[in-house]
Amino acid sequence: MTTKPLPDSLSREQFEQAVAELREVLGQDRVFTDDVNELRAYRDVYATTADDLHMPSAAIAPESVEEIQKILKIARKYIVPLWTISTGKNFAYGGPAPRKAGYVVLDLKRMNRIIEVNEKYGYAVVEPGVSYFDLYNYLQAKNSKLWIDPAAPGWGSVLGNLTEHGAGYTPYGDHFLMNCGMQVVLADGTVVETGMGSSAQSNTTHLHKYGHGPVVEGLFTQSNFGIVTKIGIWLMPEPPGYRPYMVTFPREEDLYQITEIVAPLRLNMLIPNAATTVGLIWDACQRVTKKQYYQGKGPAPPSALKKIAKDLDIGMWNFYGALYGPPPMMDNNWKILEEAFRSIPGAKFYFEGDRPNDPAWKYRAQLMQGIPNMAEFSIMNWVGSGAHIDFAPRSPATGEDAMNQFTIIRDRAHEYGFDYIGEFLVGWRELLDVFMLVFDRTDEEERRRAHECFGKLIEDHAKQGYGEYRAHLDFMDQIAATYNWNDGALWRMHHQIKDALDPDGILSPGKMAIWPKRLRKE
Amino acid sequence: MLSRRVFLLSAFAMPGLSMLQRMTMASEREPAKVLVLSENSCADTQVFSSYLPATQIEADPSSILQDLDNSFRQREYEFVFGLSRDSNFVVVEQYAQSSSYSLAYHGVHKYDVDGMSHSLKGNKEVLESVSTQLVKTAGHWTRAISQIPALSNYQDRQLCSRLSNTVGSCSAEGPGQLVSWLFIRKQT
Repeated sequence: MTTKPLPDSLSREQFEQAVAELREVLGQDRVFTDDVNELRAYRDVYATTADDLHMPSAAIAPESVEEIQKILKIARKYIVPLWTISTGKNFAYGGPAPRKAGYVVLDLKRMNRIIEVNEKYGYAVVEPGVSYFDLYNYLQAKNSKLWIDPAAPGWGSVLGNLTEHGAGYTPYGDHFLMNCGMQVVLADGTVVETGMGSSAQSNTTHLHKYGHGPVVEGLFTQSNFGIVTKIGIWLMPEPPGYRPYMVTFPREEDLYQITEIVAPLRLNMLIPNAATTVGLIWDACQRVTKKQYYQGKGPAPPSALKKIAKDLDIGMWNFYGALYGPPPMMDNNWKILEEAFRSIPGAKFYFEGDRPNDPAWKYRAQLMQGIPNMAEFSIMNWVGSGAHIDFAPRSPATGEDAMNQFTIIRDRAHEYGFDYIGEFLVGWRELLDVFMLVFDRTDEEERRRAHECFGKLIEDHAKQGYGEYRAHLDFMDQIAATYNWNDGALWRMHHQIKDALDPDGILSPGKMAIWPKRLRKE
Repeated sequence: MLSRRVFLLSAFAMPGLSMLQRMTMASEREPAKVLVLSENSCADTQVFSSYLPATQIEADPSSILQDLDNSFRQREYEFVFGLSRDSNFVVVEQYAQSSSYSLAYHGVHKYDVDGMSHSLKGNKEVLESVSTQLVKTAGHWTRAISQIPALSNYQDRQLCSRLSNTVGSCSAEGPGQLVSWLFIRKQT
């Protein structure tokens, strides 16, 4: 007796018929319907809500654009909602799980070809199933002098992270900015190459971003207007020198001055990468657990945090950055950076070799050098069976905003019994705040509290004009509703585009709160 | 790299079983290929690794991902069994489930001031056997856990829950919580 949900637009007979037709296209072994042995792979293992709210009815795994076109034909015929994933490792934001129960997951991880790496011009062309590890290993095997820019857990998809507006830690850390050329399959099966690639004889598809006419790549990121099947991504040439460094700061309130110092240095590119100011617990989780310092309920008290800082020789804030370039240039830049950071009392400086047994240093130094790893998973061990959802608001890069966001989040987290585990990055001009709301996934009550806390954080930030750049499945609608200027004009435009490009509403309905007409509450 | 520390599961190789149990099991089953995974995070995982030939997951699990993925895809093992922190279980689970291995047993082992609690999920037969062994082995709970692959047939997929408590102490250096788990290969 199956408990599997169905797409809400289909009867069981229609669903079975659609699955039978999908099997004709993909064969038995690439259509998954067994909820015990197969579909559990599409759960959000870090969900704050019950699994059955996001339980797919089936999953399908095409290996080519042609197969996707055939799938779309069947989906249009039966109105099957397809939830597209690349490798499905976007944990903290929903992982491989669909927005609603009953959707069919369109799993692109078997489209995993590295189509081209161009050493001379510094770019790669990849399909959705290529992970950061895949691309890194490929480049290493070819003895390439190009770096990748991995997201913190390296098992994620290069394409998936880019289309979700993900970020990394080298100077090429703004992933969407490094996109050049995109292939998209529209809901009607049309294959589109963007930019220069739309010229049949193009030899600059991955060299020039804009081409002739509107730039459309952004429409296919964080959206459901098409299925992205290939991207070009610029890769950073290995610099002549690389020197990671860490500066620790002893007080919570130092965040103000750190941000004031970093922002202009970043704007003027003396700090060339998205250098990161990491909170104490985030760093500590690599080596210790909460239980070792505090066995009570609620957040770890200041006395425990001070003891951790002392034991591990880390600060309440820990700034990680790197110098890139010829040694004289790095020497020169360091003089300026050192003088700036020394103005904060108690600042301590560390370089390569100074922290041989510190895994936090090791993985940060790797990330800023484009070496993928999985070390950040250790953060989940802070509490027993830890899970997380990430809250990621944006603000101006000022000390005042940094302290304001930190205070709002810390106080709200503490009110709900959670620790503040966060970091701040200065982007090109803005402050990127990431708060990892870590909870025990085996504790139902704690999951419920985490869910409620997250909703409150969205409300808190909206009141102060801070918007989130990314959202977990369960909070997409709430966050989208805060982008409501001029009576929600932007989302009304999104819906017009959705209706034009996907009139049957089969592609990822509800992604980022973009709903097809038949599912909109108007 | 996975060190390919595999053992062929035979009832005779398992500690803690009576001769009758061993003989019954050995006559009923072909030896199964089992991959055992653990980590060097605390004394308990080290003891566990002394009972079974376990491949170690390092602090950063990156180094075993490729091999793990290949092993699951090739359906090399009938059982994949381990004791680790939950973060590493999540990583293994991702590869297991995308290759149609299903979770047949899962245990959460929490250290508290008064001792340890074991929240177990598995079929009825497995839970009864493990609970009995936990009582028998007292403080040596990892020994009881190490016998899980040999305990039963796993065709009964009806999972039940059970909570057991044992005497134990919380090591100041330890993670405070571990999970044990068993994935079985789907029959084709």
